[in-house]
Amino acid sequence: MDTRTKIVSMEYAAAAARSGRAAGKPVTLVGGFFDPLLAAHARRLAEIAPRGGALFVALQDPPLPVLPAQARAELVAALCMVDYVILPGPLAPGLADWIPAEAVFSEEAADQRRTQDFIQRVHDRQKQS
Amino acid sequence: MGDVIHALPACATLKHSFPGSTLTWVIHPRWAQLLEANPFVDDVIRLDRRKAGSLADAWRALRHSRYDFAVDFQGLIQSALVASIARADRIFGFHQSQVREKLAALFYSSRVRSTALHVVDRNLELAAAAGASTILIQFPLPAGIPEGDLPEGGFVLANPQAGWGAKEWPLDHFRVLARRLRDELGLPLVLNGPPGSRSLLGSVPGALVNISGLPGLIHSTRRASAVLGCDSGPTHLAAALGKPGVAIFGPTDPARNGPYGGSFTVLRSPTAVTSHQRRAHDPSMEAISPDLVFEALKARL
Repeated sequence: MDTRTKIVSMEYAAAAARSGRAAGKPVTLVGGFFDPLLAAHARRLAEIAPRGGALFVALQDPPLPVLPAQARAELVAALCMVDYVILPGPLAPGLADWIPAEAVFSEEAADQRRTQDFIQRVHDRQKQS
Repeated sequence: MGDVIHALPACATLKHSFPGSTLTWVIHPRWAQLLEANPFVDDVIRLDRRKAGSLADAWRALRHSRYDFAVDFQGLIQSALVASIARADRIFGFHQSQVREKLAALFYSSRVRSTALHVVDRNLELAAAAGASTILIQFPLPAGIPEGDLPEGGFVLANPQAGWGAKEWPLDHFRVLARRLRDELGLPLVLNGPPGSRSLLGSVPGALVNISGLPGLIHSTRRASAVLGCDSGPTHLAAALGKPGVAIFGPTDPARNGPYGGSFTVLRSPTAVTSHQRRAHDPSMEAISPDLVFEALKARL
């Protein structure tokens, strides 16, 4: 499978969420930077992915991106627990109609910490070498 | 704490504009005491999302009433969730480019793009978008309760701790400041902190230590001659009470998050960068010397 096909528009995601809910399947939406994608992200996504349902990831743009959004989207889409990846952009109100607020998670604050820790580790390694 | 204090004028504005309405504020239990005796708040629902029982109670309370509209001042998924649970006819929030968690904006029926700089003014714009017609800038806060060990006369109250280390002024600087305040102005420096911070604050020679909860903090702030703080809740509390003081800023922007009103002098190093990075230290905070802070406090006293 070309996992890049998981990268969809906000409108497509809203339609997919609607279909999932109509079929009685749980849907979960996660927002975050994933910049860069780390093992901690994979663990977190596996933790919140709904069993038998669909996991949507809405990419956000961090204040100072390391990787471009398309690269981040392709990396996240390659994870097996992720079903759809939405690139940063205007929010489609239709999505909220099909994903309940309690099934929405934000990783933005956690991602900032992860990225800072990652950069710090790289700096520490550079100092040692 | 800062989020609650910064929303007080918007809440007063809403209630003043809709005097016949019932205004419900959903708040974390830790900060609920800030709303005690608030004449603009009719109901308070305490919600700690991490406790299942609290969530269930809040859910029941929110579903018990019908709300004409909800306003999410915080811009977080959890605050948008509260507005969504309330099943209000309309939900007002900031535009996705101005919320802390962008997905929160999914749940707003009206997204307001604020043009104001300071968060208090932004919240007032949101209240106006929800239909408020008369702006009322008031911070109704409780009297507080005496706690801890405060000196009899005047004193300068400092709150050294913040949400993260990079926003804090080095503890060693307080030692120099305490000496100058005592020797030149005859004022003791009282370091205020929450329970558990005594050993840390007690490591500063020449300063008194006052340990208190939220009611004690309100009381000691009201009693203080002046307040010294950083980008933290106690500074916003003091500014809301109109206390004179000095605030030291580093990685956050005082134009947006600074003490509201004109009673505070804000000190920020020219080398400071608005990064919001949650690091342990920020060199721009260390660059603000105790002598500079002393002079700024002296001018405010």
